[in-house]
Amino acid sequence: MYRNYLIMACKVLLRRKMFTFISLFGISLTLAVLLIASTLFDNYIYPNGPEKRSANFVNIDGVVLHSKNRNSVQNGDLGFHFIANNVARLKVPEIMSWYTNKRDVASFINGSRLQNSMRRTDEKYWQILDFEFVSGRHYTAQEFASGAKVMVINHSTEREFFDEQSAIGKKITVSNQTFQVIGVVKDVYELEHYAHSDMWVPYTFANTSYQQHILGDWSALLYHSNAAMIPMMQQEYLQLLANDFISVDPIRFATAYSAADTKFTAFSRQLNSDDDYQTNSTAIASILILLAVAFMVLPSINLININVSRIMERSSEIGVRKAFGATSRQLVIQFVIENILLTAIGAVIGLVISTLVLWQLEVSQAIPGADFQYTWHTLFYGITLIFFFGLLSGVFPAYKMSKLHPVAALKGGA
Amino acid sequence: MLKLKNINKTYQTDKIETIALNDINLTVNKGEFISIMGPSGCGKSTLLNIIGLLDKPSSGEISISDQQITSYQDKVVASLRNKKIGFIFQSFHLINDLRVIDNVELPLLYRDISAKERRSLALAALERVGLSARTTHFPSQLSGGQQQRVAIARAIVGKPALLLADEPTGNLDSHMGNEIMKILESLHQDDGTTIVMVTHDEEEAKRTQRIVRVYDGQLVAATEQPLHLDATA
Ligand SMILES: Nc1ncnc2c1ncn2[C@@H]1O[C@H](COP(=O)(O)OP(=O)(O)OP(=O)(O)O)[C@@H](O)[C@H]1O
Ligand SMILES: [Mg+2]
Repeated sequence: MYRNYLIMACKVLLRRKMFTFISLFGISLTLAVLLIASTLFDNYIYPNGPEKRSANFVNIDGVVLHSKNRNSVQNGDLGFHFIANNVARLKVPEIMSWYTNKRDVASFINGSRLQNSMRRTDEKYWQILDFEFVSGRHYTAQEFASGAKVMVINHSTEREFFDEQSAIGKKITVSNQTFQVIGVVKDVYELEHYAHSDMWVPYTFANTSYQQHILGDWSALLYHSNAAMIPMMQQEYLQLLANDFISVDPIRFATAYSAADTKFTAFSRQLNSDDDYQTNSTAIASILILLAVAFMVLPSINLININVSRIMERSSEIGVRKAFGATSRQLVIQFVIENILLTAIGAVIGLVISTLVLWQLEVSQAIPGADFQYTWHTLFYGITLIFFFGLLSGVFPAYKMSKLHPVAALKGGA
Repeated sequence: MLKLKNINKTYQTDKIETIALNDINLTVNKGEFISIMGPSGCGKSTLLNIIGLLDKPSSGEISISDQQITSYQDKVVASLRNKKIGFIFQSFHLINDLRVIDNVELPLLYRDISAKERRSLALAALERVGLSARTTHFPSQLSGGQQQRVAIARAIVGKPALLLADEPTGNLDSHMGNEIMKILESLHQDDGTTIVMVTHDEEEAKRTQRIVRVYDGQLVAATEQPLHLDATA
């Protein structure tokens, strides 16, 4: 019997080419967009480059400072003084790393000037972020402590400076300082904000003037091997600022607001332009999830609509089938199978489209360093979505239709 | 074969109650070919739908093949319609997405029959109405008369005990209408099929064994008439 339904469904779909085409177009496009969006989002929240342990770390990259009389507010990236006197006192994180933003620097090689981005970091940075080394190594705790002038560069920079030759052991001069290259890493996907750069050096090489500022261009990564400890780290940080904030100037900078963000809450905060760290991060996340669900529900409501009108168009068929012995149940099964077949074909096309688009995004280097993968949960979303679409857009109209009185159906389904 | 006892049907729309059928009593014998006549809106289609178990009477009793209908549960009536009744409609009601042969096979889909057997039964039914050459056409590629012949093939493919036709020639010109009447007569004569037909055409009605007249939902007369083909039978 099911085989008959399937054959019948194929016949109907082939016969109604226009409808089939429009439906497939709608289903596959919606699905492709959803899959691409969720893959991009997924790769953003759970990158597979150096930030692949994103489930285990949070990042602090900004602070808002209020003066004692509350007349003045300053905000910006963390200063080293703020980190060393506050963040450094946290007990929950297993590993903590301080590092600067990327900064564009000019370097000279054989008399020609090259522009690159550079970060100054500690050696723990390399423990939390998992870079893939093409050759060489990162700097050690000892090199860091002694302020060694060593440098890690990415693969593109290696090629830019040294063509096809290995950069290991070679010298690069930046801001009148000469560094020795000790490691080369694979290029990093630009959306991995904490990791992305061209060059990395130990921040200890320079003089110590940077240590006095409460605002600056620093960030801090807090790591715990148990992902369940993330909320504890966030909480501890908030409490520390609330109860025991140490400031360079207790009058000008009396209170501090900040947050230790996961990739997800950082993304939501950006989306909500929450610059003053006043919004609860779980509230932000809920809004985001709600939006995503609404985005998924809308197209399926649309599909339900198409399906209802299409099935009602076939009211004469429903009347005839009932008159010749079909039960309501058989009709529901027939229409649901037709719909599942259509959704399944649309899903396959959607999957192909999204794979092609993502692949094109990768090879065209539209997002440098991008390496998209359908992770198990993206695929899971996809399959869930297909199921959701197929059932939601098929079952309800089929049920509605099967309740049609045969006489009314034969008259035209009024 | 078919027995209606005190059948009433009322439609409730808003505040108005329409009495479509009023205390109908009718018996149709096995192998009989009768016609139902009456002015528009008198309740002919309603009566036919009730006989065909497409509609439930407000009160009264029906029995088909000496089996009284006691339940109007979807599953029960669907199975009875499938096995005992064949419908022919004024506007054919073929499924345009399906080929002629698939249209004819339709009633058999709801029976436990192999695909091969379905196909051969459908071909036989199409042969019976003289359309063996059109099996892979789509309904839209056929004339009205041909479409109605496909519909007849569909109605008889399951060998139902009772054939119900609601103005089967209503959408056809007199020539094609005559073709259809000839097929119905042949089904009656040669296969002994019991047929109940609604018609507006006196001439057609006269070709049946008995004319049942309905006015305002009531049976007013049943004219017995000698079957014009009796002599040849
Ligand atoms: N679903 C319905 N709701 C309300 N009234 C209805 C409904 N169906 C039929 N009627 C009424 O019942 C009466 C009988 O209708 P029916 O269709 O049986 O007439 P008919 O004899 O077949 O007419 P025609 O010759 O025009 O086909 C009419 O007065 C009609 O308005
Ligand atoms: Mg009628």
